[in-house]
Amino acid sequence: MELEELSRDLDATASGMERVSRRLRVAGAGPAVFGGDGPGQLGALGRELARLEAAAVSARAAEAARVATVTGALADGVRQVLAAYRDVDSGSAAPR
Amino acid sequence: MTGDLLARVWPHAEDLLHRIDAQVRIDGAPADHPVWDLVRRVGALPSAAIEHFLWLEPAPLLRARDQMLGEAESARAALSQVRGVAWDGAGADAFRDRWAGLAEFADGADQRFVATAEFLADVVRWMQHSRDELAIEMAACLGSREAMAIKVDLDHRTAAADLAERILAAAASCLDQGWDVRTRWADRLGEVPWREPSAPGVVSVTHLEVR
Repeated sequence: MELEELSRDLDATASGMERVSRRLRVAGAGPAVFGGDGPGQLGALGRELARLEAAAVSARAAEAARVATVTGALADGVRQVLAAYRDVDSGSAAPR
Repeated sequence: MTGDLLARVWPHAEDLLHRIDAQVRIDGAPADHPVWDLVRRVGALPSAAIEHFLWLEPAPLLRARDQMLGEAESARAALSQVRGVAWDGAGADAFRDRWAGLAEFADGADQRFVATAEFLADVVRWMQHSRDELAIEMAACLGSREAMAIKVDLDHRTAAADLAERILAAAASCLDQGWDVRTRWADRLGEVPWREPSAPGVVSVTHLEVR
């Protein structure tokens, strides 16, 4: 049934996006790579660039996680619709 | 440390720069010499400023950029797993609205993944440009009349201040360009929150084509 395939596709998408998010949560170059441990204003610039990069990577991880969550919820919704159709087909649906 | 021009010039300039530092630190420079403003602006003497750029490593940033592009590709592949499906029935409208909203959000997220990678590439370009600029300035200083004066202890106080000014002016220019990189990207990389569709849960009987 197509809705069953759709829910499986959505689950696969949610899993893929969750993996992207998980990898990004431990990514990031770190302050030293930007020269954050340098002297004076040079170090200040390095720390600021590192802060910007860390915030950006964290934001990408959060956005990927959000797509995973919403996609997972869509898969659940499709499964609920599918269950309702099956109830109707089997004649076991309780009247509202 | 990369094997670029700065890495090649540094061994020839290291001794001169340490002597310049020592002269400025111990013997000082005329009170109205421009070097003092530059020392305050950069927050370092010449050898420390050059060594700072010397130890900046573009390679980890290039790896971080590649990872970000790889994750963007993984995200696209994950989203492409939802195949077309024809759906006539209750809930199709609600699903369609939500999927369209999610696809729009995912498109924006994809652009921000790429922007994050471009930011990292911009930082690498700034690092490499700075290293080249400083190497060229140091090479010019090495062959200067002031460098010769320091070597033979002739009027070395003024000579050291003049060379320190040249090197710190180049470092200050690199510093300004680095802050420009930060300014260019500061407002483009933040998290964009997900917003629920305005009328979730609408149920009607329709036909749906995903993709």
